[in-house]
This record gives sequence, C-alpha cells and structure tokens, in this order.
Amino acid sequence: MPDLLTHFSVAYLLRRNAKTPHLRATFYLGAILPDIVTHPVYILYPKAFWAITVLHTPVALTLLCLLISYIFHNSIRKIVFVNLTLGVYLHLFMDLFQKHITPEYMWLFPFSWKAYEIGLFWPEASLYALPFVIAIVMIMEFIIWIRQRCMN
Amino acid sequence: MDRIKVVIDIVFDNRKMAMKMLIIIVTIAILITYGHLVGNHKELSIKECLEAPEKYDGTLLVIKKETKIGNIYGDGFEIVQPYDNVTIFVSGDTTGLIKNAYVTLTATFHKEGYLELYSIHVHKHRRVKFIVSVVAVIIVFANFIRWFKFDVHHKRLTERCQTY
Repeated sequence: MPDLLTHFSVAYLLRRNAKTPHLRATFYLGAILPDIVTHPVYILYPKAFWAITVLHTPVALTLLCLLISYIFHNSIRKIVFVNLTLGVYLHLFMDLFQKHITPEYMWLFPFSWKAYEIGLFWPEASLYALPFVIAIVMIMEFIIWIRQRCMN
Repeated sequence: MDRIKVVIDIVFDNRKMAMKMLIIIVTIAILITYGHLVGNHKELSIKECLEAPEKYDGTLLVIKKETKIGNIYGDGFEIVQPYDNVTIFVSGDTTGLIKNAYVTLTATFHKEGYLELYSIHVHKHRRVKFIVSVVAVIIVFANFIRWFKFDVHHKRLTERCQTY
C-alpha cells in the first residue's frame, strides 16, 4: 500500500477546505486506520497474516469505524462514523491501484475470497511521488494563507 | 425511509451501548478467526512443503510473509523466513537482489528441497517507508488530540471547546 504520509496527504488535500476541523481530524484518522490496525501486528507476528488481512477489508473496517464512533459523544457520533468511514474508503480506493505478486485485497470478504487490484504501481512507488504530493500540500497552504491575509 | 431512520437511531444512540459494542467486537473476532483458519488452510507454506516434499513436488507457491534474501550465489539465492525458522535455496535470476532485502515471490517447490523462481518483487526503501508512515501517524494523532478531548463525566470523546 502507499505509505501513510501519501494516504494522509491525499486525504488532507481533499478535505483541507472543509469548515469543520474536528471532522477533518476523524477523516484523516480514517485515511490511515486500515494500515495502523494491520501493519504493526503483521510485522511483529507474520503468522497472523490472514487474521490481520481481514481487518483490511471493507466489511471489517466499517464495523471497526462503528465501534470507534461509539467512544465519541452521542451528538457527533453519526458524523464521526461517516467521516471515519469515508477516510477508510479513500484509503482502500488508493490501495486498489497497487500491484503485488498476486492480488491481495479481498473487497467482498467474507462473502468472497477473490482478490482484485488494478495494479498500476508497486507499494513503494508512492515514496517517489511523495515529494510532489508534499509540494502540492505546501502550495495549497500558502495560497490559503495568502487569501486569509488579503481578507484580513 | 422512516424505518431506516429508526434503525440508524438505534445503532447510534446511547441505549444498550455495551451490548452493541460487544456484538461488533464478537463479529470482528469471528471474521478474524474465519480469515485466519481458512486463509492458513488455503495457503501452502514452505515449511509444510519441506515436511512433505513428495506430496508438494511441483507446486507453485506464493511467498509473501516477511521473507528476506539470504546469501546470493551465481545460480540463485536463499530466502529466509525467521518466523518459521526456514531457509531455502531458490534457483533463478539474481539480478537486482540485495542481501537482507524483503521480497515477495512465486516459485515452484521441488522435492529435492529447493524452489525454482517464477517471479519476484524486491520491496525497496522499506525502512524509509516505515519512517515516513510513522511521521504521518504522529501528525494525524497530534491533529486529532488538538480537536478532541476525553470528557470524563460522559466517558466519551468530545470536541474541544464544546460542553454538553
């Protein structure tokens, strides 16, 4: 999968102008959630590969987002769930374009074990694009700062 | 439409919260167990092939889990799986391979106890990717803490500068 900084940067670019910074924070969390619940365990304990892979599927992640939303106050729970889930699905959408030795992502698990990916780039290729993505983020921040200064 | 709204309200309100969380946790645990059992059953490991070489002679293996390059020779290389305590020779092209690099590969198992390479991918810049990802995690969590706090009274996360 692309590195988490790429996932976060894309999420940031998509939601930077949203007016609610709290909900942006949950969207960014959703954008990195699939990897932070799977990679550390997998690296430390490779035998858990298949168990952990389940947590990188849409059904399991949606349930996980629902579980996480329950620790938020009732008044914001629904919108937190929506933002978390949107971030998660953005992450999965970006992962769809990767390639592996054999396809890894089971989009319809547990209803199907069939894995599919579009396979445009290897996982580490995101590192080569990262400087450009960061540059775009910095340019966007600069433009926002200039606009705020002009308004003031 | 009203029924959908009622279901959504039931799912998200505070009633029977412990039971709802328990149901989700159990469901996720069942999914994980199912994935672990069926996935491991479907996937053949090098260790299993070495334990029954005649049975698995000629089988194409997909080798993904935390596999590193060991020694490199003229006609092939070793791969090492520390978690299974397995080291095995792979016959094939060694172009671009670096010792201790992480790889995923497909290869045919031979009963003599070696693999014949079919395809391989070297996972480059793994350490850089790890460091960059840790930076992202720090940024996201720092931003999250900036906008949310734990309300001890309600035992829930709430937005900062909001009271309920």
